[in-house]
Amino acid sequence: MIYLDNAATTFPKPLCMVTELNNCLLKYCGNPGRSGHILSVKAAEKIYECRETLADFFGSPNPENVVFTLNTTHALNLAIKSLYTENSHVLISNMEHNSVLRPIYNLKKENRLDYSVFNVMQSTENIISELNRKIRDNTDMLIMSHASNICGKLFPIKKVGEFCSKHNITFIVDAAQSAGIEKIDIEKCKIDALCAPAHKGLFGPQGLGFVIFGNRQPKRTLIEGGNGTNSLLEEMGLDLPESFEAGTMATPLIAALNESVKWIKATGHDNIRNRETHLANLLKDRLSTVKGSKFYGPETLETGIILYSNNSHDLDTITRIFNTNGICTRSGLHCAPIAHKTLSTPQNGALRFSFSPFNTLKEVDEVYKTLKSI
Amino acid sequence: MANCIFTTGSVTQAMKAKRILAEYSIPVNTTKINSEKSSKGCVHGIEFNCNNAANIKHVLKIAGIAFEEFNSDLPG
Repeated sequence: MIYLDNAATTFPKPLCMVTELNNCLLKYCGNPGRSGHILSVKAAEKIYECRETLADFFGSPNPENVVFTLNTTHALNLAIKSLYTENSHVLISNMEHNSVLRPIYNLKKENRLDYSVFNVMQSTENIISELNRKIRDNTDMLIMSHASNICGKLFPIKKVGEFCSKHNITFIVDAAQSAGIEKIDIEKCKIDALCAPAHKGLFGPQGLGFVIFGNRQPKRTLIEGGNGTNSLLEEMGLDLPESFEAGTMATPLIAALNESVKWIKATGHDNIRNRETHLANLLKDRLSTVKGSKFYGPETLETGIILYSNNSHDLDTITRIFNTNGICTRSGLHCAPIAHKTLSTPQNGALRFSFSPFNTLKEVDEVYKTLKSI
Repeated sequence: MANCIFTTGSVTQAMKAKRILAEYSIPVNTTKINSEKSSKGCVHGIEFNCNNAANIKHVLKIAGIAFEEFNSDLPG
């Protein structure tokens, strides 16, 4: 098998992550924060340790600002719905995933806010100019991806963060495709909420994501319930993080993520990104010699993602042959129809190759040979 | 010397307090107080030798960690 669907979920995972997941389930998986016994305390300590690891990794001085969620979609919904202001105006980029577009669209449909889309596929200078033109008196929030989930292009979150800070606009960053691959500093980039998954570039397990809040205090909860604290009070409160983590936490997943992030720190962001990008560039070079090949996104790859179509063969044919040969890729719209529209891909989307540092040069050659033989 | 308890807003705040106090070489344990002993229901906090109470108050105030001295306000 050749696995090139790492932008959806990285595979394989570092052994230390899997070992800790097992270790937790076998040795200390009490219910964190619910009891005072040894297993409950150990589980709570592991969760706090992961908050510290993530806060340190993303430049936050406050471990308690790390709120665990089910995934990035949940994290973005929490960030957006806990921070937005009624009757305000929101800016989103034209490369956003449905996990941003749909909650914003829904809030607009309920007449809670209005939104505009800005073009992020242009120079930083032009992005800021466009934002200056589109900002309104009631613009209160800006949401953008750090890296495109379909073409891997990186966007200038530091400059946009400075723009937001200057205009007192809440800045939410979707780091689903960049966390673990590109260094992110919440304070330096003036991010109010950073949303990311465990299972992609952080090499953790599926079913876990998180928001790291910056200096803005969330105004409302997304769901309410038990959190092991002040249980006689009917009010959920707005205390980070527990007020935003109703229900039992995913202790084994969080403990495992803690280990995979440590593994990334030891391996190095740059080493991971350089290897992925190098392999992707090699495949792109080879594919460019195949008749009918077409690429979308940045001319020079910025991460390990290639977005591809072929004028001579439809996507279904390519994907079917890849599947038969054990080559795992993803084709279609990747839950980001506005991003595909921005890049003018075919109506049914495009094929995405996405690398991890575990891929090899031999695999690049195999994929090239398979495609060439179609 | 008896043990004292300061309650914190949550288990996370209790963990944070424990970490910071460890940097000052002040040992504490996190603890959970059951609902029958607290008017708010289940609460979390830190438990320590009462000799360290003054130092702990000082460190927690500097660190910005809100706490309350725990007195069992309900019969337990």
